[in-house]
Amino acid sequence: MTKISELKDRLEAIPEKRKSIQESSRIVNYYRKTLSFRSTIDSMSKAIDNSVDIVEHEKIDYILSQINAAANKAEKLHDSLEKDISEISTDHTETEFLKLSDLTARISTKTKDAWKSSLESRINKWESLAEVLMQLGKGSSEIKKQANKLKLSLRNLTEKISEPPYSKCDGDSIRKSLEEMADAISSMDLDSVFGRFLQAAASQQGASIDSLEDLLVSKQIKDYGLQDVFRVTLK
Amino acid sequence: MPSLKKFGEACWDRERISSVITNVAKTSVDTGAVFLASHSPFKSIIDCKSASRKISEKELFNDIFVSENKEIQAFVKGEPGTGKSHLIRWIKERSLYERKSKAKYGSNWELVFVSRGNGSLKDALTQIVSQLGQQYTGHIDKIKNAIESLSEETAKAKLLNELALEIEQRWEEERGREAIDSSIRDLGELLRAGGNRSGPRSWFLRSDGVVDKVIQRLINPSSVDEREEDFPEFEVKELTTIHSQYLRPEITTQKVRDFVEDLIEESDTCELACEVLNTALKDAIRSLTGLTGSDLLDIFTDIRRQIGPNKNLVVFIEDVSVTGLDIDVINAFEPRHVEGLCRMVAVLGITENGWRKLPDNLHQRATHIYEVGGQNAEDWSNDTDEVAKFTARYLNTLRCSEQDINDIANDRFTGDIKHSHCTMCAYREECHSVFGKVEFDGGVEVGLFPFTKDAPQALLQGLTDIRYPSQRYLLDNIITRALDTSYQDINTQKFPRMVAFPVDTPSITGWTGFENKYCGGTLWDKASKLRIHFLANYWIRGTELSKDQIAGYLKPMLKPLGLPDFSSKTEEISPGDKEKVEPDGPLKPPSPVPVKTDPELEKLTAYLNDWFNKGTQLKEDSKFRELLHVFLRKSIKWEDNRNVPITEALRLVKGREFPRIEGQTANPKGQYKLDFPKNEETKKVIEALLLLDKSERKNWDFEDGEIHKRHLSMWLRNNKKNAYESIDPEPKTLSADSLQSAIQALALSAVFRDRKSLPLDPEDRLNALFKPCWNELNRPEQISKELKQIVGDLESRNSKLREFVLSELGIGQGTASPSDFIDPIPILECMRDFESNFKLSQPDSRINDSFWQKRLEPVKGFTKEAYKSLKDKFLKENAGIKSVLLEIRDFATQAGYEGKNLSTELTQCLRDLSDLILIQRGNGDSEGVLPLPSGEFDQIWRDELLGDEGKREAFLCAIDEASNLVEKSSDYKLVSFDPIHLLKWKGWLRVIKDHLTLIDREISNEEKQFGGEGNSRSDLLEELNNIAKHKLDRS
Repeated sequence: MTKISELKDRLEAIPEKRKSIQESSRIVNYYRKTLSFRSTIDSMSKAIDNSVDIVEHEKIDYILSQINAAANKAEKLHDSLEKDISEISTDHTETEFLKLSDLTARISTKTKDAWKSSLESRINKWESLAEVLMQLGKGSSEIKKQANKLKLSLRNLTEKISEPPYSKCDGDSIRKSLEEMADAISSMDLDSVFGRFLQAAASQQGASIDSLEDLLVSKQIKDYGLQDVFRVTLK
Repeated sequence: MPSLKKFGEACWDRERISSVITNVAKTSVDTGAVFLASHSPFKSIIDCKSASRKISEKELFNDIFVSENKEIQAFVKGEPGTGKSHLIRWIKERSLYERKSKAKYGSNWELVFVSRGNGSLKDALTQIVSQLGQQYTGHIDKIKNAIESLSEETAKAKLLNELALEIEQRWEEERGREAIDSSIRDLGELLRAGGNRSGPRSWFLRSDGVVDKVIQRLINPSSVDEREEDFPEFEVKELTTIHSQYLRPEITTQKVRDFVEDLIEESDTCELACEVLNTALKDAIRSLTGLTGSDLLDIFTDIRRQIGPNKNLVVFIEDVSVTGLDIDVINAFEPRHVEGLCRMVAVLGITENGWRKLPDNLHQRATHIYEVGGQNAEDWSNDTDEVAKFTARYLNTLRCSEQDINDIANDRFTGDIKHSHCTMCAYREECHSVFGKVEFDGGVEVGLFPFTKDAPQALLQGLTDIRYPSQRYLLDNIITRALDTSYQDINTQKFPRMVAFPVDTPSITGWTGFENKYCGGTLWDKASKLRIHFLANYWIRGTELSKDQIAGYLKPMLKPLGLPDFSSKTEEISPGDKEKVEPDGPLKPPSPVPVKTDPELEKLTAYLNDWFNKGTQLKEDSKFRELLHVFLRKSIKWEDNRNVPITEALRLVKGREFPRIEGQTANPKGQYKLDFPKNEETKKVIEALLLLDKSERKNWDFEDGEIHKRHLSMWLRNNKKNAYESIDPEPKTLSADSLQSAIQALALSAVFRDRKSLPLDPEDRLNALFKPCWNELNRPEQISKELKQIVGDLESRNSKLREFVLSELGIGQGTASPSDFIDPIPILECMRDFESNFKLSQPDSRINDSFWQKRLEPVKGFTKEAYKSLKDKFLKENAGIKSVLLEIRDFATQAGYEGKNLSTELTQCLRDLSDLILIQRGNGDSEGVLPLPSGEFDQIWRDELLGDEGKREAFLCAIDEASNLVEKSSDYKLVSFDPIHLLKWKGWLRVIKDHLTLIDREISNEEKQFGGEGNSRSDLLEELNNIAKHKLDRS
């Protein structure tokens, strides 16, 4: 065979091979994406498992339904491509992968959002109170001790807000902080008049001025030296 | 005197000549008679004291000796050789005669005659001592001792020492002069510097230096001429040319070297130094000779006192200038009336130059001043009779016996010569008739043979290189040369020969006509013609005569002088009859020769005669060459010479440098072509042209014009072939060889241009040769750089080669350049076997040698090395073609074809290639697999070089042709072969090859990406499955 003939043959073979290359490229592309999807879904699935007693059930159910949808999508794609890999170049496949991608993204977002909102709802109402309690003066050492405990628990929990607990260890740590926070609150008798006054004063709205008329409250304010600390609503 | 056997022999003894004819007058006892016998009386002596009255020698004698009893100091001055010495000697002889005859002023005289002797002071003073006698010895002992003690070397050293002393010590103190200028205060030290080593002192003492010359003059014999020169003096060059070897630091002080530098750089200082040296030199000489300034005066005063008051001391000094002590000598003989002294009569000779240098007081002190030179000599030389008589007296003395001479001498103070030896000669009548005679008082006739009456004066006036005519020149250069030098010539009848006399040869206009008429026949050989011409010029002053008169006068002289008879009859005229010939008489020429009186013509004719007759160089030859070249240009039909193109011929004969005359003076740039040897034929031609040029009407209508015209015609007839050949290259084959080279080069160019064999039809063949070459755009391609150079060279030469061939073979009208017609035969002949014997003959390198260089210049380049190895260049071209074929073959083989049948395989190769490129680039219907834009290849593709069957075919044909060519090498076919297709395809194939490489690489790159799929598919499926497991897990 002459060199020219050889070149000719090789040249003629190029279009077909170019097509094959294109498929491979797509497979690789989809593989990389799928790998990413799988990783995200795995993580989120574990996060759900570790926060099931913290996050609201509704939210968990929704997320699980989305994971299930993604699994279905993946299964269909698997079956289709396993049957004919050239399906990889079709628009349908591409659409399916896009859907899988959307699902994955949604699972991730929803999981994180659900975690964040659930945890925040548990710790936010105690943060202001903890600030107030930290300023208690004379004669409040027990309260103050509990206030410190509360503050520490809140700080640990705040740090975990951004990411859900992907591992069991993380989940356990968060649960422990929640328990410590609950202990601190219960120890401070926050159901008494003065306790309620304190919670109201630490709230956004502040305590009602009427509550000051309560002698016990007035007396304890005076005892704890909190005259300049509280915010009072005049209306 | 010898006894004559025939008329025309020398009538004197040669041995006696030296004793009779001398350049200084001799008046000793032995020679006094000869002196008087030959003496020519002075008739016009100028008395400078008496309003320049002219007096005779007798009157002069009376002036001095018959006057009252006065002190006399008489000067006789004149230029050297004009007779002042002769006159003083005559006065002395006359004085002796008077004393001997006891005339009234002849008694009681003491005569002292100081001749020049050998010119030295020593000699002069010795003469005085010896003549005054024993009784006066005591007076001059001082002088005698001083002089006798001198020897040359010591004298020189002593003189230089004295000179230094004069300048350093005596200048102010003893001489009472003003102090020497400070600028030359080191002059004395300079004279002494170096001592006995080779310093400046040695320079001043060197041979031929001023000091040496002075000493030579003082103590050694010198020639008459030397004695009459100025006494040696210091000149600037004596001080400024001191050789550096005399100024070496180890010999001279810095001060001396600085002083010499000043002398060289400051001319005023140097001139002042010379002035001081010359002033001091006089005193130094006095000191050297032992004479102080007044010594001579004192000595002669004592002598006069001893002689006593009733006597006369007569002192004759031939020349006071010779001693260097002229002023002292003159002072010694100054007129002084002192009681107790004898009367002093001093007659002192002095040169004009010496006289002018004397101070005015000495001029005024002189009682008598006479002059014999100047106008006096001029007048004498212009007087034919006087010069003839002067000559005749010497001739007579020479012929006479001693007794006759004594008799003549004894009678000289009573008149002129009283005896002629001619009276005893058997040929007297005939001789006097033919050569003339001089008649003295009392009918004494002296024949002038071998002269005529005119000859001595004419020859004297014809002398070259003399300052003024004088008796001495006549004796030395005319009479002695005729009687002594030419003695043998006279007796062998070869007299006169012009070369024996240092004279000019004046022209006799129309001499050619004379020779033609009278000197025909074989007897009149060149020597005879020269002699008759010389005789005509000087013996009868022929320049003033017609040719018939010349013949008439010369005819009687022919036989005694041994010359042949004239070839035409003429009436004899004796010299004595010359005056009787009337200007309008029967011998007058019929019509005057044109422009006879033209001084330019006479001058040029004289130059021509000197050139021809005396063998001198031809002066002002450019004028003669101008005449010749015009003559040659106009008189020869150069267009008839087919060997040389007319334009070339006219170019060559254009300038004065065309003819070269043997012995011409000038040597201008340019190359002469036609030689005119020094012979009679050339002389006649030039003479004829000269006369024609100077004729009033510029035609031959002048006397002997037809003869001159005939000379030109004869020359043309004899020399036309030479003239033609003179502008031919040497060897003659050069032009034919050059033409052949040019034709072959044009043919070669035509084959290169047309890339095919030359047509065989003669007309087409010629047309092909003369068709314009090519231009830059369609220049024939070559593979080898060597042949490219040849093609480039041929291109640059083509038009000149065509012009050259046209010029050489073209035929124009008359002397016009050829433009319309050409002789084709030589061209076709030259190209007869051009194809089979294909070559470019190299012309001989001698085409560059001479004047033909310009003519043959168009083929000059073919002598170069490049054309010598033309065959090698064809071989290289052949090798180049082979190389290209190989490259093409390599392309094919590399592309996978066997290369056995190149063109067939290349056909398939190009087709395959075309298919490949179609896939690669695509066509209108399909997209290319690899577009790969490539400028060069795209152009090839666009030009359809691969796809077009016709274009492929041209390439394949070229390959076939080239393959055949390299196998059967033929230079002619090689030149006919156009390698353009090969070269183009060679280039294209390289581009194609590059493009194929590019395609190959790109395909490989693509192919590398194939098989990159790996496990991606299963991985993907697995990952999807993993995701799907979440469903399962939940379920």
